[in-house]
Amino acid sequence: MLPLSDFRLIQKNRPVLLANTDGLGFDWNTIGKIKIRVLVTFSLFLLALFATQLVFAANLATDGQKLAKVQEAITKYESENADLRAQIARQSSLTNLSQKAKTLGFTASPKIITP
Amino acid sequence: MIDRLNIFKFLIFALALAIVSRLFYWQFLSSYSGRNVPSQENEIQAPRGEIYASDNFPLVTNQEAFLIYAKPKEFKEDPILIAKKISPFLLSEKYATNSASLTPDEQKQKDTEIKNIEEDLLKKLSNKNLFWVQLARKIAKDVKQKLEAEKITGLGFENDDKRFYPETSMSAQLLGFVGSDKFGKDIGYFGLEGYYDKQIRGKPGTIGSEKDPFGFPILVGKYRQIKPQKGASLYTTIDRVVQFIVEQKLAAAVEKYGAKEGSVIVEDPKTGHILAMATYPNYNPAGFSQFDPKLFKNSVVADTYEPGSTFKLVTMSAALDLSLVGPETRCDVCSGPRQIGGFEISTWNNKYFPNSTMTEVIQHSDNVGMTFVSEKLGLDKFYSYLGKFGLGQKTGIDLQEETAAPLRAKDDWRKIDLATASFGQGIAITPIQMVQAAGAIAAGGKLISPKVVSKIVDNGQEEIIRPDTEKQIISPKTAAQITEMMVNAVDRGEAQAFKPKGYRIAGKTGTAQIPLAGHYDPNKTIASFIGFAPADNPRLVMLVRFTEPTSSPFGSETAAPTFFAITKELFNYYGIPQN
Repeated sequence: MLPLSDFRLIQKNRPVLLANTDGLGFDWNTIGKIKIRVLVTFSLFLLALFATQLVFAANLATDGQKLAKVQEAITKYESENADLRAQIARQSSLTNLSQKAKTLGFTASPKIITP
Repeated sequence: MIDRLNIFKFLIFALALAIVSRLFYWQFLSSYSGRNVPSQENEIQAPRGEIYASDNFPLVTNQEAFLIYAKPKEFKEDPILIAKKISPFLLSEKYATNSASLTPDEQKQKDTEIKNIEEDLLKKLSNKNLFWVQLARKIAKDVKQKLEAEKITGLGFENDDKRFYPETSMSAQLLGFVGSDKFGKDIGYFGLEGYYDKQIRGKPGTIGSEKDPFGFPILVGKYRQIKPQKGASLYTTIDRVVQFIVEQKLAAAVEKYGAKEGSVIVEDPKTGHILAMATYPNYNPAGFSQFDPKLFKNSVVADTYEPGSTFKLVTMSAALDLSLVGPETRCDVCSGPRQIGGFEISTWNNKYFPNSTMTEVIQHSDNVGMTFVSEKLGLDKFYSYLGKFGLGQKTGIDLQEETAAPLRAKDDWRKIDLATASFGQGIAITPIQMVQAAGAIAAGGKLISPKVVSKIVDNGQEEIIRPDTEKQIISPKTAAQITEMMVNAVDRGEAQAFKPKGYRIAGKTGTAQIPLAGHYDPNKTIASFIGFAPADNPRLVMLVRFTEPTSSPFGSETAAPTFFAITKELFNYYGIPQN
């Protein structure tokens, strides 16, 4: 157990340890330095978080763009496919073929032809 | 020093607070409130199922088309100018051809239509209270591209697929068309489109997503999609070639005989499959709104008619089946006109054949001879056989507008009604019922209900469609006897000159007067011919029917030649050799 005199001695020595004290005995320079470090660190942390979020957001935006492009391409191909199918059907329809046959001079046989 | 430090502290704190607040807002508040973040829940249209012919060629398929809308509040140009720019693109298809090929009358009609469209558009576009207004539906892709090239601010497009008919108006009444219901949704009307609407319309999907300010989807947001489910596809029994031949011949015959309307049904008697079904005049389902709505209904299933002498086959079959008469039974009342219930029954040409056999009664299409048969039958047995032949009830054909053509209650029949009904007057049936009845004779006495669709394919799963009814209604012996009578009627009857040589064809002509305000109009008839070929192993049963032919009122001079002309082409197509 420490003797009471030792505690008093420490109290006495305190002004020696802390320079530039105010009337209450606080060293503002030291405290200020610590606070600025904390604030700078916190700000940097926030900035890092913000930057990270920006990177993520940018990536997501790019992915969104990619998805939109893929969907656009699918729609385009589906549309072209449907168009081509319709064109094939139109060209190979009997209505169209018979018209072409007539234009080329083909006529139906008046006789019954069986194998 | 302390001030600067405080200012710096304050700035850092304010920046941190702003960032944290904004993040908090984005992460929590905005997702709950749903404000500021564009979020959409859109319906995705389900593609309608296709309809195929028996060779898997599409009779109806889908084509990309668009709905045009406007946002009047976003216009940067005068609505009058916009209406003028758009209206020429919204013309109906018949005016979509080059102006140079239009007659002066057509050009005038085209100008009027443009003016009408312009006025209609202006009404919609000038209403600044409207946030969104629909301008036109089912607009073709090339029209959309032309409109886009005009770069009109406030004009937008949405997918709005439309039906495409590669064979244009072929089978129009059979297929039906797709219109809109009261909510603007696609719905099938008439024919197959109407009958199978629930199956082929599919299930619409939805897409819900949050979007960034540029309109791209945010993947970590609420992005959900329920894919639309395409409607079922119908595989019909329609033989495209047979249908084409039938339509060509029918159109030519209606013009030739000056008929008001003509129709043909071709069925495979062994399966009940409809091979072709045509009515002329017809319409183009792609532009149905430009045609008379009277054309939409498929008259061969929806309209009733008095079948006339073709109905003698039903009466004779019943009497033969009950052994009340035989092919050689002689008619002892056929020497002249008869008085029944205060009415005189005579033959169609006032020629009489005393002591003729039942085979000759059919050959001469003898009305008096049929009264002899009906008396042998009596009302109860006759009525019972009407039911057996499927008359008075729907055949079950898969077409929306089929009618049952109910028979009069038995108690309401008088003696004269039985007499006239025996030769097909005073009784109304549908053409498809007549085909079903003749099909039963062709199939050896087995009645098979007709069907147009053979299978439905839904999401890879096949459902085979079978006839509703398949039952023996007359004995094979009776069927063979009546077939021989029909062959004899073709070989020796009024229409023998038109028959293709070297083939056995079973058939019967019919000429029925049309009832009009309580009496029969002698100048207006329904001329028909029903038959099947080849008689010994039928590949097809066919009914040809003309309403009010003007060149001749008789079936033997109008419907019969058309029947044989089609049959000849079909023998070629099927490769059926002569006997």
